[in-house]
Amino acid sequence: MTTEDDLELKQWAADWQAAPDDPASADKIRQYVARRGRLLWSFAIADAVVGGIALPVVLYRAFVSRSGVERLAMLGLALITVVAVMFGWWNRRGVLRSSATTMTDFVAISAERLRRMRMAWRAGWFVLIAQVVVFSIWIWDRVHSSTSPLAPGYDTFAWGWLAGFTLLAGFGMAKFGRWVSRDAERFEALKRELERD
Amino acid sequence: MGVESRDDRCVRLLQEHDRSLRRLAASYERDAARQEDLVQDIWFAVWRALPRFRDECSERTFIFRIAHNRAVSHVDHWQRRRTDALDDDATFLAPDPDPEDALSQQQRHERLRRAVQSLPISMRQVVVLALEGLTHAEIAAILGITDNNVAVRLTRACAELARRLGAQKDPP
Repeated sequence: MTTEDDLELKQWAADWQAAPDDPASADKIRQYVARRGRLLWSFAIADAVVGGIALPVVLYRAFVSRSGVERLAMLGLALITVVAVMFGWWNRRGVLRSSATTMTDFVAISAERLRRMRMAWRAGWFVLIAQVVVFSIWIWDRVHSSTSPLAPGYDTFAWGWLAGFTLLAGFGMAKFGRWVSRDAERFEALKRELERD
Repeated sequence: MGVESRDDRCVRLLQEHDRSLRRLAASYERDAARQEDLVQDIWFAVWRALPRFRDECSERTFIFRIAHNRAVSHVDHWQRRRTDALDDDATFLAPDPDPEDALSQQQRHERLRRAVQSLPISMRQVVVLALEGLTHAEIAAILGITDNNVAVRLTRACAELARRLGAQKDPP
């Protein structure tokens, strides 16, 4: 840069730093940081709670059931729950940090986050398929092997519920997949822009 | 003097750099409410990153690294929602009818801010840091590029900024 450019930059810097300001109070900063800290914990706890509620319920059913098929189905659901929660935690390792040492690191973390989201999306399909298989076996067993009389329309309701659940979850997964793909395209564009000389 | 707690250190750092952070947020986001959101996101990111800060760089460099990363994330986030976040270089500025010498400092700041906002991200990054008074070495450390690269980008960015300020000044 020439001396003239330097002088121009200095003048701009003076104008830039002359912005009117309303500096934040220490209390405002503290309150915001505490609030966000609690939010972060609530996400972590939500995962544990979902697993923590689902797991005892299915394990209890597995324990009290007299049907071997139902027992297996419930143990299968318990296994799916544990694997899904553990995968969620494992998949977030190292990418939840708030910052990066440099912009290059930041780009690398963002790319890694995208990769993990794709993994979560693929894993989501496996979990959904596994759940549908387990529920199908369970419902079939209830409908065809139950020793006690079933309420009228029980089988229609059960299969209908499973179909509805599968459709809804499949739709959600497809939406998530499209969102991840769009995110990847936008990130690539941003990355090219950031890395442009 | 006792050891400064994480919260106290965070509040001290953020109060010291709050004005710079607000100017930086304004260069990435036009909407006042979202500017405030961005500043608050930066506060939280600094608080989270503080335990890993080992004084390997100055506190100012540390804060600006985080702030820039959050700002880029912010732009990326709002691009998805197709809002008026500052995500491209297509934004052009309404010509300012006032002659430059009649402008108050406040008006000059506003004009400069709009011109900076309209720059592409890669130029905006170096310009904002230079306007905040950071050295080439500090900018290089924040962006993870070489000093030479900073000089090249800054020269281009300043030329573009001057062109855009000229475009503001001289209505077509």
